[in-house]
Amino acid sequence: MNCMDFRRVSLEDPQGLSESATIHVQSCSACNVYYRQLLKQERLLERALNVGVPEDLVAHTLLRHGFEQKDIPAKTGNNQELDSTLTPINSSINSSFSWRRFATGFALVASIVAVTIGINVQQLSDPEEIARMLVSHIEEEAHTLSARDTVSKGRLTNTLSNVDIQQLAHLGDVTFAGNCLVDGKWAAHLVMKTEQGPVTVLLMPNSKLRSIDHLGSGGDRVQTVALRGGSMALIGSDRKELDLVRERVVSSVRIHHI
Amino acid sequence: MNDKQKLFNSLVEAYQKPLYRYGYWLCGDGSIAEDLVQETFLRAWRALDSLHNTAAAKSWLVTILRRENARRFQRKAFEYSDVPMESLVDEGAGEVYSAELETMRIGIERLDEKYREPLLMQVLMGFTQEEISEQMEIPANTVATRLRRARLQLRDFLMADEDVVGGVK
Repeated sequence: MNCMDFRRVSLEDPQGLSESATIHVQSCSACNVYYRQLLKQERLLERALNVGVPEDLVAHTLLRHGFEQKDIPAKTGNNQELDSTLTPINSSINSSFSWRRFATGFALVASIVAVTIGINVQQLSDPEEIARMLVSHIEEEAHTLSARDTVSKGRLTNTLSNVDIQQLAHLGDVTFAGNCLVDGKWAAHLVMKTEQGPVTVLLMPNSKLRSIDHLGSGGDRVQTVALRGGSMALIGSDRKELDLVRERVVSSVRIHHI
Repeated sequence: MNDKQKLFNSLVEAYQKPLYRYGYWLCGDGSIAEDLVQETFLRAWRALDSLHNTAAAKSWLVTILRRENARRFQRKAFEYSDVPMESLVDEGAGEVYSAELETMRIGIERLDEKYREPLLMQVLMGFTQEEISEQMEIPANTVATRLRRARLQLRDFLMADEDVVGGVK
């Protein structure tokens, strides 16, 4: 790859350099300077794009969704639980109503909706049950274990920020990063490369799992750690590697909410 | 709570922030962005049975939001450049004032939409160039060109504004 090619591809995706681009930037001092300045611009771009999100957006969205259920019978017809929290609302509300003004006045109802949803999250307590649920999740997403290339910084940052997690330090070789549902709650699903094979890390800011260290009959070891906000699970085969990954992740990320 | 409701709540929790930011930079107005997100999720709820793969949820929601934004234009002509500039720099709650950050925000706002949107998809939503190509229904090499031009235009804008990024060349 020559300098012109490098500058072209780095502008297309500064955080997703190919192997040949990485080799070039390490050996070319001019492109190295260019790339560092481009990354600086990219960090500024990310900060600029991350405008503040209204704190009550979730509540408003769920409340408006609740009204929709009252006005239009759902296809599945099984939303009485959510609807029951909304009984004080006049059912004659129609689509021409000024939603924003109305929603502000009913912030209390929205908070009730949010609390109701929170209470309904099933809490697992049996270590075997927790381990089985997590291993079953990994089995369903077995393709995540076969990835070999390290994911881009952008992909990792995006996966973590989708669940309000900030990366404070380098996490290591992450070969898969994506968001998924674990027990009905959104999580960041990472796979880290270690000397003893891949270790799956599930960062679950919306789930409160009790801490366990469980060795399954199939040789899978499952650890869960209760964090300040949410929980983390590690699944792999080697306890020593799990311990190392756990320590690295705990010291490298920060969960913003809960 | 049934499975459909659980999935819906999870989608709202997971994607409300990136979708709000995406909508915000599409329309340049926080209130409209909030409405766009709410409309997006309402339409998502109505069509939730058609979402068979949760891994595709992000692309699916972005498609709905983009269509909803297009409908808004059909209902009422709206020029991005009409938005008062101060409304674009006043959203970072508690954020320390930064001149270069504000310059960058103005630069993003001034990008032509055909350059801005692929950039939003890549940086905010984490889409690959192939995913952007599918979403925007344009060839992948066009996506690459637009991403390059977007970053070059931002660089030029920053340099013109008292070289705030330190002379990116």
